[in-house]
Amino acid sequence: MDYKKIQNLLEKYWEGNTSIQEENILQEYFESNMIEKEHLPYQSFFLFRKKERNKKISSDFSIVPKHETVKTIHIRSKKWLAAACIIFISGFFIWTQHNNTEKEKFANVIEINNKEDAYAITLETLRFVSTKLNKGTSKAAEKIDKVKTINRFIKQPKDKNH
Amino acid sequence: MNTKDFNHIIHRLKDSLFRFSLRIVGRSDEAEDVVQEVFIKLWQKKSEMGHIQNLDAMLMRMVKNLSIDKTRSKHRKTEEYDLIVEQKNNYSPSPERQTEAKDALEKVNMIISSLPQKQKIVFQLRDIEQKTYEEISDILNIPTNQVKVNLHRARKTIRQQLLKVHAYGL
Repeated sequence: MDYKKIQNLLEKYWEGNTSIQEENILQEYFESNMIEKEHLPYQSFFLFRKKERNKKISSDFSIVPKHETVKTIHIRSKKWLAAACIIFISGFFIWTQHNNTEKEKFANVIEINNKEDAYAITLETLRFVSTKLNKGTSKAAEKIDKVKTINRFIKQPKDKNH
Repeated sequence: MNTKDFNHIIHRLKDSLFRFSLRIVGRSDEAEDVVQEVFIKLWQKKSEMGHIQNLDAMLMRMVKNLSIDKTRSKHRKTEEYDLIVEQKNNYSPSPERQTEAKDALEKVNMIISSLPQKQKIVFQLRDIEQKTYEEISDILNIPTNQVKVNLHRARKTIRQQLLKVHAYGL
């Protein structure tokens, strides 16, 4: 290539006055193996330009945000896992508590194997119930007496026929 | 815009949008996220697309804004630059030469990465994406003369740094 022409183009290039076509001439020159010694400092720069122009986005590029999807699913599954753990732990806690209450309920129950003892306990229970009933009946009778006393003070409506 | 049109736009622009975002965010995964987000937004607003005059410029602008937002949102370490030297030579270069070339490209990358944001963006759009000054002006919403000024400053810095690297190996 014409050294003088290249030299002029280079000067023009560094000044920022070259056209795209002129820049392409320079590019071709620097990609060739016939570079003047004076131009060697710039060779790597033009090779860099070439390399940069050939850079491409990855072949599996898709506009579907794959990283995002994976991330979301991951986060979602973590949330579900956390929720499941909470439910499981709460369930276990409630079940344990319920079991303990049931146990406590029956903790004072005495098993009776003897018939006489059973009879005595039943009798005692019935007596207890009877006493309670008597108390209730007498209280109810008292209330009825009070109602009767109140009724005495309430005037009876006059018979319209009289 | 139907699915076919949309797929066509993706196919046509995904790589340049990716490269543009990568220049700003410095990480491939984040650049891909930006491109993905931009296409999702485009699909969501497909009914309004009929009124857009320059879709390419609009998408580039969206990528630029989202990428800058990403760099502001957190401190990130710039991804290690993966370099593969592609030469037209028929011979297979020695490991020493490969390492030298890799180092040289890495140095260029560092020089460009250290440019001010606006210069870096203008450089990317012109030197890598081969956009005209008018297209860059449209994408960045700045006057054409500002595009030229930024490009001139970027190239001037790059040249100075390249000469320094060549002379002192810095």
